[in-house]
Amino acid sequence: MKKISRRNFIFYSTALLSNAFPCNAFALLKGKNYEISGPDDIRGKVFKGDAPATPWKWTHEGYFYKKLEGGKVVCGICPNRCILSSGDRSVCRSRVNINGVLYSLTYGNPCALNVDPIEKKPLFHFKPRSKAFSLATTGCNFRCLNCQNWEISQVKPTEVRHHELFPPGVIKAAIQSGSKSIAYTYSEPTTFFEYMIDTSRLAKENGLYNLWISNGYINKKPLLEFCKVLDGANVNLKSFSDAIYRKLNGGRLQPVLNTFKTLHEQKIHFEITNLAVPGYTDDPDMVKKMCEWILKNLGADHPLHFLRFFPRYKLDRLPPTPVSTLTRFRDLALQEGIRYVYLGNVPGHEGNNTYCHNCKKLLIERQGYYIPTYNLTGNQCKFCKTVIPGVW
Amino acid sequence: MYNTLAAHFNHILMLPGQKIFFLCSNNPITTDIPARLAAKKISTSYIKGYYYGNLTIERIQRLKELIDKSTPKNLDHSPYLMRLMFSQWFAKFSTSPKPFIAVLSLIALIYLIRITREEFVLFSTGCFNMGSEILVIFAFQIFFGYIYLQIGLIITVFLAGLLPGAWLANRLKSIGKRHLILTDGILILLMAGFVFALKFWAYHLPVVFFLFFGFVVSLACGFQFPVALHLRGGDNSAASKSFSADLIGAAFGTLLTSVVLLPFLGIFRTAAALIALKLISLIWLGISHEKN
Repeated sequence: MKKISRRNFIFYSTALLSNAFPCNAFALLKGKNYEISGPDDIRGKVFKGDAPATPWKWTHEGYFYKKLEGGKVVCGICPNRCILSSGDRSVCRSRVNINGVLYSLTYGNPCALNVDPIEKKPLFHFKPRSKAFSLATTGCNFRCLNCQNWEISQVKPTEVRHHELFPPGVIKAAIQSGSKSIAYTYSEPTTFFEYMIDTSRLAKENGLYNLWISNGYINKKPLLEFCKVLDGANVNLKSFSDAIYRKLNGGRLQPVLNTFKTLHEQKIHFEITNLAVPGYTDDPDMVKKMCEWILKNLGADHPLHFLRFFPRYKLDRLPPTPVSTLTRFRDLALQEGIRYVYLGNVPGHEGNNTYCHNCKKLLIERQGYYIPTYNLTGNQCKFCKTVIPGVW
Repeated sequence: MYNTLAAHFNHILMLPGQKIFFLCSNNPITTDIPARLAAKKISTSYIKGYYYGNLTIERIQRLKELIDKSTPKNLDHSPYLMRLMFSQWFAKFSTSPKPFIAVLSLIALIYLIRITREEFVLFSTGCFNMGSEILVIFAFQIFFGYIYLQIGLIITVFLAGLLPGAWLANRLKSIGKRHLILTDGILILLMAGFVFALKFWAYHLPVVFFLFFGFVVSLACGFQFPVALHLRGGDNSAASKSFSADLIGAAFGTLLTSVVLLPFLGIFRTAAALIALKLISLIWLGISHEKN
């Protein structure tokens, strides 16, 4: 066998390694939490000079903003706190500075209107079997790689077909549809705050409930104002890691945790959603920490929904979350002490049903949005009379 | 998709969701699928549980209202949906192919200005060969629907003709630009004949037709290389420049045909574009004086 010289050995080894590195061949050596590709921070940026020259029909002056020097404004609705020069558009694409005034562009022009079962939000402990008149405009303050509604959340109001429906029209349509509540949902309702709160005030006067389905990325001041008319919420706790929030969602964790605390202090009924995205948010240690925080800060009574991920938007290369992972998370959360833990997007699983936390008997059986079994009397378990948390 | 189907079915029901399902029939289609299943005493927990929440009459109606009847149909020879898929992909990633196309066009332009007549012939031949290959693969998938079984064979025949083509050219006693003109003409005629056959006998063409076309195209392309090299001088510099021209043309042809020509122009106009490219080569050869 021919001997290899030292020079040749070094040359060929270097050549081999220099090919191996770009191929990420050593990723597996880092252990199970190998680095997920992609930028570490995908938070959105202000769109410079992208605002329309003049307000349009669905423009409404913002409720929470400050005027700065030189015609600039700072939006006070969400923690992005966009500083907009005249002619700029916010990160959420729905708010603009026109001649030194902050305007929402989506007041009265929803792009999605549907009548949904309330279980679809998901809200399992709020008026089950009722219908929610659901509406959304375009816009979102996040940039989630797995967004389900990116066609409306990641576009400008002018880029989609929309309806004209001002707050009185929403109330009329909701009542006509037989809905008990109005859900601000699909995209990110915080971005159409003015439209949402005005509609909510009117809804309250007309005996309708207001539901907020959100990522929880809102400042405390507007949230406190909204809580005056808010009845129920489902807030998505996308992960329990600030780094993943920045990498996967383009947001930050702490403001979302603050939102949960505010809702809890204001005694608003809310449920928590957590989507288990493979490789990003499916770490049991992180889920355990999340459950510990929930118990310590919010208590055991707020329902927690673990949702199954399906490939969507920019993460269409990932597989769906294994059901076994979700089952493990549910068991883990129940063991930690959270009383009502559900699984979403997993038909036929017992995690769709509600069991009394005291006697463990089946209270509500769910087959999708269909409820064949309902064992509550008022707000109590029919079997042991334990009060079940929620709005029944 | 709706407009395409509407040309063939009297009734189309679109079921909205992450994926839209199209149910087509010449008889009226009911939207209440759970009720139909129940009437047939078929028990389903999933459809019964989710259908009414996800597929309301309002959602179905709203989706129907979004239909734009002026959108072109998606046809075998003009894949409009492919174009839409490209657009959606770029929208999804908030990006645009325009800077890439601009840079590529600029590089191609600079390159084309600097090359000789023979190199341009090889560039256009490489482009034509790969463009034809993509076209054949695409057409084969459309008319046969099982490209995975034959793709290896198609690629092989597009390479198999190169060697005998080069061998034939090397056997020529006197080499001149007339040989390039002749083969350019043959390539143009081959493509015209291929398109003509697709237009009139598309679903009756045997597999061997596509394979034969691939072989003859590559034979002509293989023939041109030694001829062009001979006309360029045949030294090391000429060899490397000729080889580069062939490869750059092949790369350009692959990209241009698959990303731009086929999705935006369809099969027939793509073939016309390839013929036009070869016509330019032919005309340039025809109007220039022979060097040797």
